[in-house]
Amino acid sequence: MIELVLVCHEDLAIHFLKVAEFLFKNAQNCQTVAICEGEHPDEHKAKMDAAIKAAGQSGGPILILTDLFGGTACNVSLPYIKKDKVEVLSGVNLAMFIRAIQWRKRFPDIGLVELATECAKYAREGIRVCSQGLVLSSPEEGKGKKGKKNASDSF
Amino acid sequence: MPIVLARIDQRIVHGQVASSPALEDFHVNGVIIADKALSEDAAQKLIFNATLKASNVSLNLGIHYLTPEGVFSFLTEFDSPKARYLALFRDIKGALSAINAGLKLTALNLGNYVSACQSKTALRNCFKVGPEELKELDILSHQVSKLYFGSLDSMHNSSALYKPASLSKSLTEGS
Repeated sequence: MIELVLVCHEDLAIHFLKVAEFLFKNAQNCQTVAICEGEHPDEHKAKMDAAIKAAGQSGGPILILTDLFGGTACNVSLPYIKKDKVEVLSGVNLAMFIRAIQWRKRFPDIGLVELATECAKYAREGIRVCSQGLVLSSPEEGKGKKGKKNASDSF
Repeated sequence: MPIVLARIDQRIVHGQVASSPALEDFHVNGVIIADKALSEDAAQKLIFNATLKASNVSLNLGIHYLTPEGVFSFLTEFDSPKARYLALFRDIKGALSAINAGLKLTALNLGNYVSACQSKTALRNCFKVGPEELKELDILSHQVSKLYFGSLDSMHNSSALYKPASLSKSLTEGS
């Protein structure tokens, strides 16, 4: 199974994991790294080394999920990229993280890049300007239109 | 000098820098990254370029990787009245080298720096210096009229100013 390492600014990774554990109870095999203010770059590297080592114990490939592309959390992750062994996916949100947890379990033979691509797609799909694309009508507007279903009916 | 913003940051380019509102406020249109090791690191340049290109300003004067000593001659050679550069230095020594080579800075942001020294003084949570760097910072304070902590846009925040006299009150770690 693909191992997950969540690398984020401050405590963000821990909070993502907390929510995932609340949702799935068994979001195991997920390492977290907190990139904190006031740390020397050597400390970042030591934290990353420890997390990659822990994740690598199963021998499976590793998917690193980071927050902001170009941010320190992402920058410290990039040197670990290794073809078919370690991949980095930036812009983590809850949808992306959940997809990674579900799919690595559901499809144990999924490729690393394949999983990363699927997670990126799912994360993007979850980003919506919610008033657009949904036709929300007031209760008055709905009156007298028997049999005509509007989008708000589905809520 | 066409440098409108300058910063010491050990991480050089990252979210805090690339997404700073100061880039827009100061109409930055180019970036100078003054670090010898980086000027030879192609992979790191790719990452930094991608990050800066995603920032909220258009960098039509480009992103230039130079040695600290080479900044002054670059600006002299490619002098343009339209240039409004952000200059980034990895450490205090780099900023000092650039100034010693002729660069004039009116303000310098002391952004992120944590010394590798065992015994260091925390001037701010994200700015911790060793004894040697403290001396360099004092030299720098005589050559740059405004040294300020925090983010790039904290320039006018009086509590962010670096005051050498306040060092006696600062916290000493690891000693």
